[in-house]
Amino acid sequence: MDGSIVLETNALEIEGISKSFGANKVLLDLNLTLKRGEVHALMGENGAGKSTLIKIISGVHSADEGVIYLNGKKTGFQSPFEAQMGGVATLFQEIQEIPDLTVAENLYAGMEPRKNGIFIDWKKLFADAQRQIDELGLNIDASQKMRSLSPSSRKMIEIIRAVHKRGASVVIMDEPTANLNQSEIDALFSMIDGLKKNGVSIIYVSHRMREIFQVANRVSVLRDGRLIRTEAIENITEDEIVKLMVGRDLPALYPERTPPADTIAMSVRDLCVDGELDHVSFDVRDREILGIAGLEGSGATCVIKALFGLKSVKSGSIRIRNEDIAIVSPKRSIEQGLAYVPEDRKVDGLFLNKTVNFNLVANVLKSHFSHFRFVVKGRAAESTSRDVVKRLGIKTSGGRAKIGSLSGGNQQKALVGRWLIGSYKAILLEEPTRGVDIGAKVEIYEEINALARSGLPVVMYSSELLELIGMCDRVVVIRGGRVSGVLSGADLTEEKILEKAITD
Amino acid sequence: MENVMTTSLQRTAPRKPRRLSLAEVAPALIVAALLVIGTVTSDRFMQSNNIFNILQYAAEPAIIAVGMMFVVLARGIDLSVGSVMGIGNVTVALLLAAGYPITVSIMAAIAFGGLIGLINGLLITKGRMEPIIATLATMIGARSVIYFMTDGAPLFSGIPRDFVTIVRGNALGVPNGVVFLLVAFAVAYVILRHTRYGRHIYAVGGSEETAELFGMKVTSIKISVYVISGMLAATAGVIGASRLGIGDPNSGIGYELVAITMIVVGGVRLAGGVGTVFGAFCGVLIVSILTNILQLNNVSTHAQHIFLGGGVIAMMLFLSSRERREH
Repeated sequence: MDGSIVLETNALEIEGISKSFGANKVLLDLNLTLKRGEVHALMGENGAGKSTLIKIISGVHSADEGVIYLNGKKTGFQSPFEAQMGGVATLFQEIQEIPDLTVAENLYAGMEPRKNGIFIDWKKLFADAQRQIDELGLNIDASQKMRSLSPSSRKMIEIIRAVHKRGASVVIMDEPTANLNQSEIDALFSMIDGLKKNGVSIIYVSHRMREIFQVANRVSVLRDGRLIRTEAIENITEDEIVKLMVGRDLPALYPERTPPADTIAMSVRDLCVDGELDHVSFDVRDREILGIAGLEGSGATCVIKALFGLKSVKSGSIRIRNEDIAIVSPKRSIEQGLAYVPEDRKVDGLFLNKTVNFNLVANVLKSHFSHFRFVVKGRAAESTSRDVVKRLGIKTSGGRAKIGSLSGGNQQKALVGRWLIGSYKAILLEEPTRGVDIGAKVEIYEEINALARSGLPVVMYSSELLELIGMCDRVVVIRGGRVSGVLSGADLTEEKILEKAITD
Repeated sequence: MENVMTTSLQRTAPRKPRRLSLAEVAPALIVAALLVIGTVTSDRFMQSNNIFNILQYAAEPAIIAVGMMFVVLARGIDLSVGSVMGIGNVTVALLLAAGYPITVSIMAAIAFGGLIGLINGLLITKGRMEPIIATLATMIGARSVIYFMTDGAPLFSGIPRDFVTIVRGNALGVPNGVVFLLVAFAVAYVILRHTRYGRHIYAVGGSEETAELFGMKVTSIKISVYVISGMLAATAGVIGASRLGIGDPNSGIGYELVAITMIVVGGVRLAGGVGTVFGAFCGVLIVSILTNILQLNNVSTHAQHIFLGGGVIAMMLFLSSRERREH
């Protein structure tokens, strides 16, 4: 009964917010209401204005026009810290943490309990932190270093710090599940449930449609800096949301597949990696996209890395069209015709402070070297790169722009796109669309499909099962380092994959 | 009431002591190993005056190393410390020769060092310069200032006897220089381990962006570590002047590298955010004891540095292999 009373007051009211960066109008007279205790999903393509809106609410940017009321009071935060102290906590995509300090210090950063007003009271610090963690039923030791925790535990600690320590009434979560596996996502969702019950309101930004339907009460769609529609989640469908986001009928998310040939293009035999993979074998047919699935710790993430030579492989062979591929090192793998898109583009995939041109031709540089083998043929590199940029619709101010300045979606396109240059025998992909909006996803899917159709065997790992189901002809499920099943056709469903991934 | 609270806290959170990793205890183990090697290879090594000698000669680079540690923990580097030591050295000598009281002269010398540290801090924070570039520039500039102040010649005269006994005396039964060294480390330990300011230095070194979001005063913290480093470097210069009884324009040359070597061998990570005062103290001992052992065994000065360089490489290889294993 009293729950409904609480629900009637709004946690956040955003009225007439506008924001421009130079001539670029990012938000236009935007209104949004956040009810108390609701999870409000914010959706929109990259560039729709979501992140600018979040940044205005959380004090990173200030609005040109408009007012924000927090619990009925007008606010204007000047920094994320100020917002946090005022009751608005933001969980940005990157976990905000000091990895080499303890969990307790991260929780109490800046407000460590002190003795005599000078010295930190370590005993109290650890005890207080531990009690808070225990109260939430989490199995985390407060005296551990942050670095030693799993991604989800780190996210949990961040939430505890933001919400419980600072008493936030509004929590903004930007792609909170980006680096989490399914069980970690479940843990996060039950924590979100707990927050809702305590009257905390959550703005939830995610590209993952299924999550939105699982966790949100209402959804607002932004497009070109305007609020298009706010709707209770039960009154809207996935297709409708996508339509609202793009403002037109989107071609189906996943491309039409042509059935693969019966001839085997690539075979992997007895791939073994100590402690991770145990005699993994599979075949990839001509024009086939083969998926690799598995829970965290199953070894599924290791398959592609092992094939590309990033793991020390104990045994195993790759054969592509009657040609043996030696698994030695990434360099040798590229030389032998394997293309690889890594999971973490910022660490493994791109030279962020180099130009778009450099990044696109980085793996085929050899053919762009002059006779002396020392000097890059700048013009040739530029024209090759221009072709790729055009073909994939990469949004950049030019080939000489630093690739780090591009949006995540466009960086990912470049990462996939660079393999279009040069000739390869097989493509290995890890999480090819991580952190990318739907528009860019569709384009990347089409490229992958085109690569497969051109006759290249494609092996792809993704933690998004729907993506594997949508894209792949067959999915190899890994459990405990072994192949526990190969699914195709009508058997290729989320339930079947999970069944193979979990049960013996 | 308070008693009830504490007992119930202890019951809900029975924490086992954290296990120390091998990387954390490695510096101490190396010190122990060096003590054994020293004892075995030379009869003179374990004599008390040799031990005091080691510590006394270590005082100047060690005090610089303490300041360097503050800077490095906050993900910076201070190459100017050698020149600032020289500044402290000739400033105190010049002021004493001009007849100023000892305390005033010492304070002024340390303040001068702090000023150069402040300049470093401002260049790096407000001027957004890379620490290595900013402090390289002040290193060169400050040395030039020293030569202007002294015309490049050592100052032999006018330094009072009372000033010399500050370091050479032994008020507590051990040489005062040793006491200064120990006090510097003790104070650093308390600050870095037991105050918010100290922990926030680690936070800034670990992730500046996050520290900002946590509401820490990142800019002030960064400036402050350079001021501390400058003041300690100048203090080392004062100690040098007291120990030798002269002002030497070449004082402190190369000390920045010695100080960096000491803390790095002690496990302080140059990329910031990691390292203990105890580790750094062990680093000081490792470098000083190793040098002493080589001297006692009549290894030539030229060859000594091969051992030092080799030791640094071995330690770094060890630390990086541990780090790889931990991840």
